[in-house]
Amino acid sequence: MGLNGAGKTTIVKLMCGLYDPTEGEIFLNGINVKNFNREEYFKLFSAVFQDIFPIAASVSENVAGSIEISKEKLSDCMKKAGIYDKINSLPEKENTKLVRGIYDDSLELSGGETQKLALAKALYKNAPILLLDEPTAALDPIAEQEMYMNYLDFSKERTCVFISHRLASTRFCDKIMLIENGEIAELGTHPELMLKGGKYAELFNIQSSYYNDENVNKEADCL
Amino acid sequence: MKKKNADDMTFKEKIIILKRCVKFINSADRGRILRDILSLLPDIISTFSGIFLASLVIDGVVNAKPAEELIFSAVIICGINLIVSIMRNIINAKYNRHDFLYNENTKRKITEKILNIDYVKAEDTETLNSAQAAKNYLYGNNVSIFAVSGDIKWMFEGVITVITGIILIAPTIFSKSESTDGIMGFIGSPWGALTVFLIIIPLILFRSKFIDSEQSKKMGEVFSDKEVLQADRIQNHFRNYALNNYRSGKDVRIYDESELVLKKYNENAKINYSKWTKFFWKINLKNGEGCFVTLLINILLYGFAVARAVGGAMTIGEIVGVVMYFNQITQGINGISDYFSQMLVAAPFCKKVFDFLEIPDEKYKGTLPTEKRDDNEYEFEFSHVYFKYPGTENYVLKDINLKWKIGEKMALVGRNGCGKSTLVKLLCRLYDPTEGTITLNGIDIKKYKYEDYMALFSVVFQDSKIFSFSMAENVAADIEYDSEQVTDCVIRAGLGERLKTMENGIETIMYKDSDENGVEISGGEMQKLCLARAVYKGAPFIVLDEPTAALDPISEYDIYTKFNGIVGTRTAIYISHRLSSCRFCDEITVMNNGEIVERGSHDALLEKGGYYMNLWNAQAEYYKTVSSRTKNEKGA
Repeated sequence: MGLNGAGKTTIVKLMCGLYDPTEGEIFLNGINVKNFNREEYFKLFSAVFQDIFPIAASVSENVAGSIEISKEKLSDCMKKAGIYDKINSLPEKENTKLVRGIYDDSLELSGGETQKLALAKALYKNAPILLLDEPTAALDPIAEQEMYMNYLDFSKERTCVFISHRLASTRFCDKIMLIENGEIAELGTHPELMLKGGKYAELFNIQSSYYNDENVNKEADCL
Repeated sequence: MKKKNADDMTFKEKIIILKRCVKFINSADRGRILRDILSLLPDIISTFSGIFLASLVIDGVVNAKPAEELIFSAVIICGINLIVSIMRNIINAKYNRHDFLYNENTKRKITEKILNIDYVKAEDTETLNSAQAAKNYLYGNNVSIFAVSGDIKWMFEGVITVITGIILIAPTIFSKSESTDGIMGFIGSPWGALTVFLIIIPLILFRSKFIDSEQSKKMGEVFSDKEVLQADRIQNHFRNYALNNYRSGKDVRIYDESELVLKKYNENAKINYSKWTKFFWKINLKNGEGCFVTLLINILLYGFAVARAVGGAMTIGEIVGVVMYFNQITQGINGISDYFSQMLVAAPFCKKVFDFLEIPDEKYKGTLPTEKRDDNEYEFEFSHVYFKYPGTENYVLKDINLKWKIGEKMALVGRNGCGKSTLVKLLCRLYDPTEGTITLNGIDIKKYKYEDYMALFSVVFQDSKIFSFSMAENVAADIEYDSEQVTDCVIRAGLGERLKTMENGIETIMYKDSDENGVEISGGEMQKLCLARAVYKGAPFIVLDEPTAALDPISEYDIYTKFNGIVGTRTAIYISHRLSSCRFCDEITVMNNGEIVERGSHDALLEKGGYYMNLWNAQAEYYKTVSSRTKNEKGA
């Protein structure tokens, strides 16, 4: 986590090989990633970025890509992402075409639904490393809670990087990295960082204060 | 909009459309048609002078004229050609960029229409299709308005060629032959010439009109074929996805989407290809028939010329001349007929451009100006409002009754799809309610002048976007702005620190689409910029739809605490999934499935222990104090 513009998404982009570092090196299992074939390297990652662009194809093609689509796997991933019910309720189900205006009957998904679809896509690829950039930004509280509950399940036996401003999500993570101005400012588990009383603790307290504090000062800081 | 087949337009209607095309073309590129016609002259002069020279030289050689004389004539004619060539190149160089001008001006008309059209229509598939069709038929294919300007040009070329040809051919036709007897004599005489031409000309017309009208009809069918249109849209979509939008590149690489994208693109390219191939096969077969007719015409023509030469009425040079002039005339007639019928085919398609540009604006019927109130005393009310999106069955809003106290900050919460954003869209008059009324200070909002009404709102939507213009232009939503005020709003929205890192300050271009020196801004920074834009407008009613979704905790805190400072005494609606934000609002309205289920202050609703409390707890549980959390964790 970190403030806006601190460099979180940039680290993720570097990690999955979209950019090369200007200086320094990135290692995977001790080997400099430059030594790997870039396309093979991409196969290791599933990512959900902040800007999502569905393509004008069916839901199943959006989630699974052009390789043979396994219906079971597709349903499973959609369930984990929380979008199965919505897709199943449509007349054409997973064959529904997306992106309004291209086909006569294509559908435009809402912001939250699009985010869930992107998550299903990441899960379907089943890559060993899962990168999630603000995956609950557009989700309502109940959907967000469902996602957290499923998170433990789909992050099993995988390396996950979870970027979020919702500090509640940190409770599921083994390690928390705080980025500030392009540098790692703090690194540790939630209890460790809270104990440290540094920037992370400050952020957490600010956010949780609304949920815990009975007397919220509404007239604070008028400009 | 009624759907018309290409056959449904009468000849008169088509001519009217073509006249409109001429006006349209001239408005986009002044004097284009006149210029086009004038630009033909060099080539016509060149062609005919070439034939004249050929004729002259052949006769000169046959009649053993002195070489100097021939060379002199040749030099003159070549001189004419040189001058003409230079003229042609100058004209081309000067006017090539006018194609670009035409393109830009016409596309702008379409864009302006799209930007100003009633919002409810902007989301409607029929309107989108109409817009797509309008874009298709501006430029770039045989039935576009641009093509019509070309057709007009080439049709005139035909006319000028025919006239010139007839003038040049007449002397040789009407010269008398030496022998006057029998068939030879007849052919040699002007009457004979006339007869031959009266046979040949109908053959020419038969060939061009008959075959071309079939061609035109078939071409029209392919252009309006639904599958072809859809294939075009799909190809455009993937081309944009893969080539124009650099942000999609991340997904393309990580998910190795190139195979899928290419497959979809090629599938649809094939559809286009197969439809057009079928069309061209049919046309070429018909054209094959036309070749026989052409053969017949040529036989008659050559036969005539030879007969006259034998009869002594024409010299060899004149034969060559007659045949070549006649070819020019034939081509001219074909040209007139071909391009005219092509224009007729294009007419129904060009009409689609005008159909789109003429879609009526229904919102602009209100005439009441909104009173300028310095005290910002605007009272809005929803009375029994029901709403469903056009063309759908389900009501998205049901029996909404809501009144805003002036200066009140109201939070609107609920699950995805419950109708929060829709309610806001209705308030802003992007849509009209299906049933019920929305009033401002007691008067139905439909009665107000649209621009005035819009001026009352500053909105940040969930999917608000920043353009690739300068930061200041984005904030002011204008090319002219008050720099101080822009800077002030940017700082108030929390972008002060980021602004300091930008070399060009508020003049910095956002994103890298239009300027390589543009800066890439994060999702959260973009949201802040949208907020700055809303603040800059200074409207009395401010609506924020998920304004902190992408913001970090500090920025989020800033927005909450400074919210009052940002909003001031204005009325505000605040939609958010971050229920923490509700605590800053005077009242919370909770929606579920298009209905208002609960209303009250945060504390009152928690006490009630209903739907709101469930939403609150779902989020709050993760933030409970450490001790209670670790207890939960052990159990999880």
